[in-house]
Amino acid sequence: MKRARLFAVVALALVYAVALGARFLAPADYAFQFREAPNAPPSVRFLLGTDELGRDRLSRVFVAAQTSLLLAPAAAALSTLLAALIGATAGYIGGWWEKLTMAGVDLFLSLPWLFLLLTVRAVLPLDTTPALSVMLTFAILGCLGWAASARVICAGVRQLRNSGFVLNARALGCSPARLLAVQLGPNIKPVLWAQFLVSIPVFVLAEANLSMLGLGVAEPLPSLGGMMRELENFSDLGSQLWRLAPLALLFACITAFQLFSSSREVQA
Amino acid sequence: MIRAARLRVACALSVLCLLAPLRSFAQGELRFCLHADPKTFNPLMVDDDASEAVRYLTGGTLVRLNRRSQQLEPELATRWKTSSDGRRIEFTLREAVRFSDGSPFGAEDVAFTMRSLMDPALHSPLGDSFRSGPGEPQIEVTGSNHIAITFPAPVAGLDKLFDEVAILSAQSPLKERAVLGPFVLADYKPGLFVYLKRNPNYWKKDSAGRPLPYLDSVRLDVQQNREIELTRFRRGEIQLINAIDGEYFDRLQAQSPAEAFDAGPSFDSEEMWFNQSPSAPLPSWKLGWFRSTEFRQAISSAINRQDMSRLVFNNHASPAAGPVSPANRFWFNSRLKPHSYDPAAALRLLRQAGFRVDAGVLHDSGGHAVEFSIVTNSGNKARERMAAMIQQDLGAIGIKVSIVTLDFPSLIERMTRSFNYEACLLGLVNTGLDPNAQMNVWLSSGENHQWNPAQKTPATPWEGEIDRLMRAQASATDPSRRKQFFDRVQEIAWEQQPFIYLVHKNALSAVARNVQGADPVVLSPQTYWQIERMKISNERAAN
Amino acid sequence: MNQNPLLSTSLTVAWSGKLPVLREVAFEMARGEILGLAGSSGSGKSTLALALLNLLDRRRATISGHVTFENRNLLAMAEPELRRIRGRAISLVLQSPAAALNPALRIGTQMREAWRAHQAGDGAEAISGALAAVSLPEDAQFLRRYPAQISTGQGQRVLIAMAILHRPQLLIADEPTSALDAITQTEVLDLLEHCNRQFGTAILLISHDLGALAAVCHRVAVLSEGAVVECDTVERIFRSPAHAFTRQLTRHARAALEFAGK
Repeated sequence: MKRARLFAVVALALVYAVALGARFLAPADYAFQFREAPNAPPSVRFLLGTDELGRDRLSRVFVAAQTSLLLAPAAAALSTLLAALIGATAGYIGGWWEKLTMAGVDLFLSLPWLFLLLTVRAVLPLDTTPALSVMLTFAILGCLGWAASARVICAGVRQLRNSGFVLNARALGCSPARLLAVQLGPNIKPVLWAQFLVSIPVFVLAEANLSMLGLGVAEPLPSLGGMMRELENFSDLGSQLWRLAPLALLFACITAFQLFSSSREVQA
Repeated sequence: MIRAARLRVACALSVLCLLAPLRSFAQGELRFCLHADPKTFNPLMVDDDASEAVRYLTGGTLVRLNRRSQQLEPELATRWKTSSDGRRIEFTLREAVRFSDGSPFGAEDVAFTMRSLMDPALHSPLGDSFRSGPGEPQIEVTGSNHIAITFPAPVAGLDKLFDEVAILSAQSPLKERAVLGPFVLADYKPGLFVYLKRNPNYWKKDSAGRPLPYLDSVRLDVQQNREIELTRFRRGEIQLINAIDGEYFDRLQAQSPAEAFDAGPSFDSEEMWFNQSPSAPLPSWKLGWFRSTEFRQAISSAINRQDMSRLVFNNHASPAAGPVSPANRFWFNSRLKPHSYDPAAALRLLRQAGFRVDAGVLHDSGGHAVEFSIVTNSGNKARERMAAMIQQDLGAIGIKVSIVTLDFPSLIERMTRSFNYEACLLGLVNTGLDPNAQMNVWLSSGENHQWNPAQKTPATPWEGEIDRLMRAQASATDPSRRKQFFDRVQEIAWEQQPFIYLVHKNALSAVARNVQGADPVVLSPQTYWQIERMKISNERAAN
Repeated sequence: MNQNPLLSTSLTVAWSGKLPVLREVAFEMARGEILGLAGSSGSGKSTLALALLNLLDRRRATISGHVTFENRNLLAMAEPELRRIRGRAISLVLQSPAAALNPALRIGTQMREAWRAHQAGDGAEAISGALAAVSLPEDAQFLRRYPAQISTGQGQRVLIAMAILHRPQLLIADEPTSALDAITQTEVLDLLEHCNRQFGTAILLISHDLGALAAVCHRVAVLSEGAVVECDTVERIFRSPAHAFTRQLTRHARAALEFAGK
């Protein structure tokens, strides 16, 4: 388990180093179209080949990692935080407040939030930079993604609400706020961490889906989700495995996050 | 036990389902998909693609537009003549022709059809295209095989309109179910299929004197999903796809090149335009650029249309010169060539108009850096890529372009109400060959005059000139005169670039290997326009 | 008996829709007194302990009567005010340290939280004082431990240390010895007696074990089927138990005492 953790840490450190230094490490401009070489296979010049417009895939993967792997965890953190606040409060207070909150969660889950994203995109000024618009997209995703996690956290807190240590803390005169933050917080941390980790790929994929609708990251900025659009309707993947690079990177990152978190739990 | 038995029944049924199509193929049945249910089987009321397909396959017309030569050919009329004022047309009809139910065909049937069509109470969309002025047409039956129709005012392209008029029987109790076309409607299950059977009384014969059509039946399956349509084509369950997407085309071509047909440039075009509307909430200097002819010309020459056709459309597109595709043989102005890619010329033009390049950034005479955004509809991969290419091409002459993809309703809102956009990239679908179909686009008062719609008076002299020419061509009847006027419109559009035409996508279709006699063309119905001469060989296409 | 008792109650508690578990349970406690509350399991002892601090879930339990502490009815008090009394004027020692200590927090953190509930600062001195009073090590290493890393006896002492941190006037101990072995039990009881003598803390000691109560309590109340059936000095209870249930309890206690050689 130690070795797995080490592996995960090294892998994540490497990916994040690449993500942070993408603009320096990328061998070519991620947006430049080498029009004489579209759909090129890997070569010394283009290590992962090029896309339909002749843009260097490796450079695009680097920059995509930057967009997706920095912003998706940020959005995941935001949504987990919201879920923790809403879910823990409902679970702790219980009774009609919990019922009301959970009804709210159900309603929230069933609303077509795509329209909100559409509307936000439509009212943004047209000269909004791609970087700002992608940050906004992830911020909205983060604000919308809390509902399912809140339900899980609420259930966790509800179980703890009747535990001996909560009773003891109440008997000691602890205030509800401190009780939630100090006493319950550490006990639901594994749940929060799990929700956080589960959310990361969800947000990367949500952004990918938005990209499919053309509402994700704007051209020419790449994102892992946007790059995965290349894979739809593509029948000849078997002989062109390098096209799977963005998918492989996402998969590796999620695995590393999982290894990292599971080994943490064993340690604690 | 019961469950096992049920499972076995299910298996047996599915085997039957697999076998059924195999058997029916052997009887000369052609199958393809409609993308929606036909809205009507009344040929006079057709307004949608599915109904039009049924009308084409079942209806007999006086004349037929040859989809390849784009010339009119005799059909139920052996001869016809349009008067010099464009108001009157006379037909001499073919003799010894019978409807599918056996009732005889004659001038009375044509008169009945025209009277029904022009009845204002019917509200026929087809009838509207004959209505050029107030009043009813006069219909004179001058013999059992002779008829003359006189309209109250000249009708542009009068003879070609008869390509769509399927003749009804005046006497048959079956009403519109009695037809003169190669097939008869035999069965229809809404949401599933339309089944057509060979018309035994069809008048046409092949060169060897054998009665046409060769096919016994045509089955039109209602299938909305294009992906499923392609899968069914690959499985051999259907034999034709009229229009397929570039991506599917490449997949099909990779697997079975003999079944993928590229008929060359279609009538549809992709274009970009700048917002010149005075109600646009844009800074005055930006509107100034967009209204500058040199600026638009420079943008046009700075875009590499060849690269666009090659990279975005994988060569299934051609650079566009103007609104009319070279596929439109008569109306295309062949003197016009697409603006060639020449960034140096673009910069020269810009300098003439007072722009200058400082440290790689283009500035206008007021010192404003030139940058603008292009809006396009979201979810269209090809357009997003075209926009990315424009971004790089214009970056090379110091213009910063940002790309904004919007859902269609928001895009339309910006284009038609708020006018809050700078440039727009969209496609235009052309259905008719005739320039009258584009009236609303070119008249400065038109709603579809996208760069500056619904003007009270033309904003520029050249728009005034286009207005004048479009009205002149619409009222002229001599085709060559009309062509002269419309050629000039195309030239002005080419000089002024209110629409910067980029490419014409090619017409791509698919025809199974076991189908003989198909000759895919650009005009609809691309693959089955000569259905009566098509055959299907008995063995299934080997995949 | 007393003109100004520290605590006097008359409590009826019913869980929603069922028969009452406590029926007009009435007793008084003087300042500095150790009162034993004896009863078999299921007699409503734990419910009583929680009800005295108004800690029962009012959505599920119907409570009537009064709990008068220093002339104020705790049952009629608002939650913020109650919070100021809990842990400071009245504290509670729960039965099982395994359940009552937070498994995810270090001992030191839990002690500090108990301090911060009523006073500012980190309370380092008070904490070491309380730990010393319950004969626990007060070094940093012990404070860094998690509940799973200390023994049950130590856990029970930690709970008592938390309870006496703010020098309460009343300490309610609900079966504080039931989870412990015999030797540790005696130590914990001695400890409670010691707190009573040193700080003058009144103690309500709740137990099923009359023998244990006899060793430390001034008076004993006997709880049977949700009501106090007898309340008197230890001597009188043992000498002349009035109630059948008390007689049963005293028989068991005598046997145990004889067995232990007392």
